[in-house]
Amino acid sequence: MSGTTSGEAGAAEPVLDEESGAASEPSSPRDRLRGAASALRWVTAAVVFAVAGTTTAYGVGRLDRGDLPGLAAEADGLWEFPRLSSPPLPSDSPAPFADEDRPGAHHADPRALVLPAPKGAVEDRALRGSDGWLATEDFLAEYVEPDRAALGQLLVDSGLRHVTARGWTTEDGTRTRVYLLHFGTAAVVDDLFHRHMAGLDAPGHRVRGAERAVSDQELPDTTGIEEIRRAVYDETRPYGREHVRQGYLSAGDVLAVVLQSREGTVGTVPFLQTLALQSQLLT
Amino acid sequence: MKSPLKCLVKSLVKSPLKSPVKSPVKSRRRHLIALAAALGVVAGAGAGYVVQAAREPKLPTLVQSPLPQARGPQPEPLTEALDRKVRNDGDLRELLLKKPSGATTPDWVASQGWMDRAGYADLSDEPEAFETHLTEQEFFRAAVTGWDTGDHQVEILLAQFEQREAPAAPADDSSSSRYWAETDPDVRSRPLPGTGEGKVYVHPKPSAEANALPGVSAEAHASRGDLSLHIWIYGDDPVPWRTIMDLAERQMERL
Repeated sequence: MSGTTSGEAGAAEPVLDEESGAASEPSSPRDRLRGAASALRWVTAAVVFAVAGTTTAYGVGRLDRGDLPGLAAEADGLWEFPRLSSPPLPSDSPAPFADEDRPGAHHADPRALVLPAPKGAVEDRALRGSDGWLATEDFLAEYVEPDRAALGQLLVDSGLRHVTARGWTTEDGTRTRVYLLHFGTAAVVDDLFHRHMAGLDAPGHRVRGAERAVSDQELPDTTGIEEIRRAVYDETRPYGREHVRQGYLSAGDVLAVVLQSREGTVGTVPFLQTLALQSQLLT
Repeated sequence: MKSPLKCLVKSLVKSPLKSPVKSPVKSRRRHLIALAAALGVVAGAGAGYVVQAAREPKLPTLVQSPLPQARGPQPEPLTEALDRKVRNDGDLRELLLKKPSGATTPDWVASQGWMDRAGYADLSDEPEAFETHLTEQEFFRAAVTGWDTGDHQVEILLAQFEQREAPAAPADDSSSSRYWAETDPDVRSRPLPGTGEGKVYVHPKPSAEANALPGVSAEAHASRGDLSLHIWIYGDDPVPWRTIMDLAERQMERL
């Protein structure tokens, strides 16, 4: 850039010299006038450069980041989920967060509250358990000992009612597991979530393959669902065989656990999308 | 829209023809300004792009538009086997252990098997304060049973709490009973298997003054979900571990 500018100046200078040399003495008023004109020309050029530069930079800065060539790639990675609907309710029962008598109580069939697999994914039928009810042991198998035993006892003491789950593997090799743990009341889940499951810095219990994980404060919550509390954790580097992301949702009387693992890196977008859609289903 | 465009075209057409002939200085000035403008645009675009690239990528829309309410068949009510809430909201008394054959029912056992808040509060030294406390703790109801084996008397109490705003109420209820049991300096305790905090106690000197509940020779206290379990064995003689442990374990299995 500077090279081009000086080159232009260099091209202009000899012409000036030629002209001034042909005219007369260097300090004549005509010369001075010409010098001033030259300076003015450069100042004008500088101003034009600055204005054009600033205006363009401002304009580009105001565009949507995704509209710029080369920066749109991040938006991809969304999974194509089927169109969701809130599962049917018993005729005398309100929606979870419209229940004044039992706030946060889910009255729909708990098996219909789990997020279905996205299109093109291979479902892990084992997580459907028996008739849609998963044995608590199968959920606990996600955790390492001795945390597994401690969590198992905690769930018993807290009065776990039943577990429903869904799991799938997408084409990129990401393995997703969604578990819904149903308890007596929203207060029980809130207490469990804050005191035992979703620590401020790290999850309360160590997941297999992600024994070291920390709270991921950078992931935005874009759902705007105020009734649901969310905590997300990312495995610390170096990853083991797989990278694991963990999400916990406190949604009324349901505690949701979302785990995603993949060789390499688990994408941010599908992880957040899975959490967002599961939140919607629980609302 | 038309006229500025026309001007631009005109100037583009005119300038290369006119300027070199008329005034080389003026043409150079125009070239310089045009070059400055072009460089400015390039530099500005570059700078803008760098700023954009450094920004957090904006997330695509992750949620679906508000979910419609499905109108399918109504969900089947869950069975007691699948849902402990269905079971606990039913007849709580059915969860209590049955009186063993050969044992008799003492007078103090409530004939209907229920105990209300006032009745539960009466078990305390300060019934009024305890009743207030129970209200705060969202005490819902209690089921009781008891029997006399000849050697000793057994009382089993199952207290249920609503847990709307006091989720820890059952655990607290159990924990305060354990506190009182442990005020006996001679008491021995063992953890109650299958529970996180539950404990079983044996008082070697049941009738000693130091015993907070004189006459209690063994007891067990635990909680699970919305229930708090208390078992007391009354008698003047010490009770073997096996007796109280067996009762407590069998009772917890039913919860």
